[in-house]
Amino acid sequence: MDLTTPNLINDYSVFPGANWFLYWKTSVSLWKSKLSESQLGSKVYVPINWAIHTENNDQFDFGNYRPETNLFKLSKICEELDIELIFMLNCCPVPFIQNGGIPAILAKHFSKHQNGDNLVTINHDGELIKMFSFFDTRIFQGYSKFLRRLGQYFIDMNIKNSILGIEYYFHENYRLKSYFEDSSVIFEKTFEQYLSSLDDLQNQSEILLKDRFFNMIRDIYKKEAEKYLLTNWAGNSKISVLGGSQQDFFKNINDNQQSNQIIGKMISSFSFNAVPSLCLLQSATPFMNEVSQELLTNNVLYHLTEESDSPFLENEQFHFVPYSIFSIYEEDVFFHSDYSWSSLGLLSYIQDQWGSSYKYEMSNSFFYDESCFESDKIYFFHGANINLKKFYEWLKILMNGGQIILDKSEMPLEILKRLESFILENKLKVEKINLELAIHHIKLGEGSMTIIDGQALKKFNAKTRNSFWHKIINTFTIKSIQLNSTDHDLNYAWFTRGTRPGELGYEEVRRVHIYNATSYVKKVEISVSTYFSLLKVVNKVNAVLETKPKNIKITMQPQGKLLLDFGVFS
Amino acid sequence: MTDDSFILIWRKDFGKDKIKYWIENSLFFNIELNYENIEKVYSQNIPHPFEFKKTKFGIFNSTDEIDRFSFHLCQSLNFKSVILVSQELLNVAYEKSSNKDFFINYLIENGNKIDNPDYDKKNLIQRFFN
Repeated sequence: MDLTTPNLINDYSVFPGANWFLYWKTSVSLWKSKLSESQLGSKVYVPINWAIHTENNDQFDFGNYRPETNLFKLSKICEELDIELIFMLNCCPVPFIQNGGIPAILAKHFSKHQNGDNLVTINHDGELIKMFSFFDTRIFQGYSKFLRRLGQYFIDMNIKNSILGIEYYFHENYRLKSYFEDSSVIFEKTFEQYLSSLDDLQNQSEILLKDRFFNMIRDIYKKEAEKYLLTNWAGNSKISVLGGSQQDFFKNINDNQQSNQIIGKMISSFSFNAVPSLCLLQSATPFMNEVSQELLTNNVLYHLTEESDSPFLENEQFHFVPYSIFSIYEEDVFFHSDYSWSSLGLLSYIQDQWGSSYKYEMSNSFFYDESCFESDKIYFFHGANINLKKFYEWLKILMNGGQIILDKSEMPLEILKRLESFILENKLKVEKINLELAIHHIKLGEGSMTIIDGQALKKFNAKTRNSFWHKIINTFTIKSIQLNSTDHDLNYAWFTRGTRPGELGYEEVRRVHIYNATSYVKKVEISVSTYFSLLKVVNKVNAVLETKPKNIKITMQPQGKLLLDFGVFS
Repeated sequence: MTDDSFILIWRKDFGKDKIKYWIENSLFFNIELNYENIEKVYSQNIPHPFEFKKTKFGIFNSTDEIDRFSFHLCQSLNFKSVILVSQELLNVAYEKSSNKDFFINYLIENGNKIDNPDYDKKNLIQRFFN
């Protein structure tokens, strides 16, 4: 493991924390030296800058006029240096390139945040990066034209490097929001056109229809990219840009980003299958870069493409992947529903008590798969908009010993009746428990279903909601190690991998990364239950450990870090 | 850019019955916003219960209430002036600005400036305790 601290190079062309190289930010004559001297590791990720290759979006330059547009040369340099080059192609506005990465000629309609603000970020040089609506048909036509030319260039020059389709996100209220999301007039106009093209709206809510429209247009962009770059296409990935939200814009100007909050967001990105990036942070410290590099290179986060047959997924079982106890399924990730898990206080509770040990996904992506079903996980579902097919998938979890927490708000009457019939047919006992509000608990063998009323829960204040979730989660037996600390300023993340030969006494190996990004000494205690055994201390900097059979006491100095491996018994 | 002023950004919220106003985002050039102090100034000057929602606080029933609150906050923190910026002006600033300095200056020059006549230049330490 390389423990040297990576430093940012002044022109911000190289980001060692994420192994990024921005080719247009520096002269071609410096490409080789930057790539070889910047501790970028064996894989380098290069965002393709559409705008740098064209001015009028009719003629495209790949090294004929401007040397820094020569992607073939970049590919050859990486080959000479024995570096694997992976190109990243955006399918949404890019928050670190002028005009969100589109040619200036197409920059007409500002993209808007849901609250009505224009979508803007600020980069290292203090430049404002303005995002423009990808729902503007001129942008789609221009994008398509660029892709056609880019694809042809890759074929003509025989460039073999992989291309990942990238959607960029920012953190907001414990969730990730896509830069594709837009509430501008142009979005509303195209949405109206979409509505008028539908034969039957079937009394569907506007939010649901907007969500469907949003996904449809986003998929069109992704499919267009895949179509023209098929030979090199390696799937789609998500990148969460730290410091890229509206709140961050003001924090960046005030220069009051806090390291531990940034690292917290870095870690929580994994719960959304997203790779974090520090590329916008003016105040990214060497410690932040070091943490980023450690989290990314020691795990297979860049392998988190959406396609399961991706070439990046080989040998996954021996690599560490983010560990999760909770699988949280949201109805609409992109347009805030009134009863999202975030608004019910679940995400803040879990992030506070269980760190990043959760996965956050869209409801329509769930289907029951026996081969990868884990009965010790807790699944969260919303009942709103559910159909019978999906309902039966949930019942399979219950019947196979899984745990479900179901929010019955706005659940269709037909499904509620089916649930009642299921309970009667199987002679299940429904237990009513009064916590902050009444919940219903059904047990079927090892499996259980807890039914809550999100609508009622939302009326309580944050403290009461937190206490509610604490009581509910405590009713489950969770095979996990919790870190006990008096304050919540320490950052930690759990990962898991399969056992290697020689570790056969264990079911799996779990690794915890603990970081102290504050300026204070912090103490933390780990109670090791009978299911776990400390295997080794992988890395320890500015940290002191006192180990006893069932207890580990840790003192972390500022900028301290610690990586511990635990074997898990079955 | 100045150390004697700070900027508050307010937004309209079109509720069911009437328009409400919130303050969301601020630009201070050498201190961090202290929400305890904000709540104290709010409760002393605004006749409704204080609400803090994720990133914004209020509620204000009119822009006059925002002006009154901001003036008293400015006095409490001992700043020379406070500049109030509406969402509309913020969006114009985003459109016109290409960099941070231009953006801040645009807000300062075009925002609604309220002066604090009691500003005491010699007593700047007060900001950190408030």
